[in-house]
Amino acid sequence: MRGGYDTIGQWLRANLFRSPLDGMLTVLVGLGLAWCLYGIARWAVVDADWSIVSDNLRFLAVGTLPAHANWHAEIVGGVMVLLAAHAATNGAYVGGRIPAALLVGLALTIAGIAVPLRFLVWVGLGLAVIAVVIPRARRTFGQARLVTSLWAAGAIAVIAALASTDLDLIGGLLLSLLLTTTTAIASLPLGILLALGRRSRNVLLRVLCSAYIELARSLPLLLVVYWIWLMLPLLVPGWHTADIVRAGTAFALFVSAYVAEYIRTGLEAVQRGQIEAAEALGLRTTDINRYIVIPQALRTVFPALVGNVLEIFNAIPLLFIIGSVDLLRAGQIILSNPEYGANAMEMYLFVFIVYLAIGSTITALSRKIERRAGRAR
Amino acid sequence: MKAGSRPAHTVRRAALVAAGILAAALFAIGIGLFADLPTFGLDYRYLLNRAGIDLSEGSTIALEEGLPGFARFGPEMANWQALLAGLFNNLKIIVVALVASTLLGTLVGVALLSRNALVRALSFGYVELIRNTPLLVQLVFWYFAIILSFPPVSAAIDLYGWLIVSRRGISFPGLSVVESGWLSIILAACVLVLVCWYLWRRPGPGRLPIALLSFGALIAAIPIVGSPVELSFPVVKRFSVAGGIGLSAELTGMLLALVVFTAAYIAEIIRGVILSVPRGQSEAAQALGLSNRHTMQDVILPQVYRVVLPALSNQYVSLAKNTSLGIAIGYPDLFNVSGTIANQTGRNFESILLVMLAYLLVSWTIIGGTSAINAALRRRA
Repeated sequence: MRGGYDTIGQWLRANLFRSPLDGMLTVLVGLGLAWCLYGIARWAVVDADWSIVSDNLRFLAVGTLPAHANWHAEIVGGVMVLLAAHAATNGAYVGGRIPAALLVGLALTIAGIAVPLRFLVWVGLGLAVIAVVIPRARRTFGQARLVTSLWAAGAIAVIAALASTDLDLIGGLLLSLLLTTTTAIASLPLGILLALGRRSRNVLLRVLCSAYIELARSLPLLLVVYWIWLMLPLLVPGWHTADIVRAGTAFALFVSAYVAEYIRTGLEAVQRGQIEAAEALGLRTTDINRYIVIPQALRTVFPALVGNVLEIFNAIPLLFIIGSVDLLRAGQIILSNPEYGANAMEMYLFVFIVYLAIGSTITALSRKIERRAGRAR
Repeated sequence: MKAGSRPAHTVRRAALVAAGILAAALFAIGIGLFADLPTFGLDYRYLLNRAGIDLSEGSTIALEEGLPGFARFGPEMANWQALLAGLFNNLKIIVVALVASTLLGTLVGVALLSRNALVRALSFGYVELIRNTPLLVQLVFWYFAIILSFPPVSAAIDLYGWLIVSRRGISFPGLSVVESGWLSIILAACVLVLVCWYLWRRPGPGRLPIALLSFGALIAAIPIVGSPVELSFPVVKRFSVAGGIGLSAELTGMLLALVVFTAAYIAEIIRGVILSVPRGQSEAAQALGLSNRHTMQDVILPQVYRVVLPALSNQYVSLAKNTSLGIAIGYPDLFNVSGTIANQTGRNFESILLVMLAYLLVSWTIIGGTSAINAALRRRA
């Protein structure tokens, strides 16, 4: 039994019926909760009409991507599944198989909705690669080089697939996942540079980096995304680009200020003596940062950075301001069809539950990594 | 986030940046207004032009018979008054949501540590549900799926005037100041401030009788001079609800979403800080025979509020920033209004600078305010 109780009765008495007042509270809260849950379940099964969701799944998943451009989504989805599956079989990288398996399931669902049958080929191919190629290649190349090249190849494949399609047609959940990943990756080097700049001996660099971080952290993301989207064509004349590239730029610039603050806490955790020792050995500042300070700092703040990925993911719906069609906006566009006028509750509940599922997975991941880091220390 | 743990540094740095931006903006405004030169391409004269737009709600500063006063915004007013009305609409939400989310967050934070497993599970579920989903999804859910599905005004839910709910918003009774009531209110406020200041200064016992005595005197004065305020109940009319305090559907949606969202984060903070108070203290309080409620109220929470302020200040800043989401449901907040005006006048860059400045001032007022309170509390402790 949990928490050192011998029988269920003991646990109940200690946790639910400690005193008469406590018992009354339990009964009242329990009855209220049961009534609410019954009402919701009854509505969802009997009254609700879920055809608004099932009829529009493809639009919700990938936006208006035309059917002949399916192979772009296939490559993106396939590579995402490959990488996620690799992460799942390689616990050290994401901190556990259960959350990673959830991620695989999610990527499968999205890609599966978008491209039903041919997608299975991708999955089979991916699993075969993992099962056969990796153990052999690991013996030949060594672990680190293999992992780096695998992920780099994946990234190149995704970029190549995206570069040759009309980016503004991508929408729905695919857009959210794509932008979350690119922002999380792009904001890391920017954040490290900003954090180092904030600790620099050069006064001008220090003031500039501090001012940038403070400014970005004091402004709402919604405004920053809108302004950068508005200003980029004016500041860089002649650069015509898709809305989501402009949005990605804005996100990366904004998020890097938050990442910089996380990294700074990590930098401060590195003992001063180590830097002094490295200086005494005659290492250059760049080498000290590269080989001694940054690796340790990143290890300290890794759980926080994973939590930050959730913040990025939860910020994607703000893209409605520049007209991008993410999952929420897609739902609202479907609702503007008078045929579905009465089904607002179903659609919003569906969007809420999808976000909740992905968000909870990322949170679980971040907690698991944090626990592991805590044990390792 | 980390910045809160070094309030003094943050405030100094923030003040520096704010001063720089303010100086630059004033410089630009000055050049645009008086020298009439196209320097920087900035031109703020559009602020003085007639706005020609209407806002669904919002009051602004206006001249009434030569004196500055507070008036409902109308399309005949100037652009700067429209922007100010938008800013006041933001501040309205910030003030109410700040108080309400702190109260709800503290309640849930304590419930997260309840001995009752069901209460614990319920509050944990609430926090997880809110923290793992985007605020915007919650906001549109509250507004489009909940509030807009309420009955129309003609069939409003009316709880005997104490609460009227319809898809146009909610109304409840409000206090309205009677004629010549302002004088007594100002006098009473002066007395209250003086008493509070005296109590804050005076250490040791004997403070409670003084406080009770002065409050008693104030209440006893009401029947003598006549009550300065009266309760006014809302009444359902054919197309609207009149009287009392009415919150529009958009304002209700914003408040619901922001209070519920911010409270979940505050609850996590409160829970963390309560756990950081040594366990021996609550055991000692219980050994002294204090009840659970008094242990929490008199021993744990006073310590909590001292440690918790820097973390809360970050949440309050987030709350202030999140009020910019109003545009998603058509609430006329500053960003929404400035966007409309920028579209009409083509003054995009000028609008961006103004809104940026307003948000920086609000953010840094909150940081400065909380760290001043924190410093005062530490001096007393």
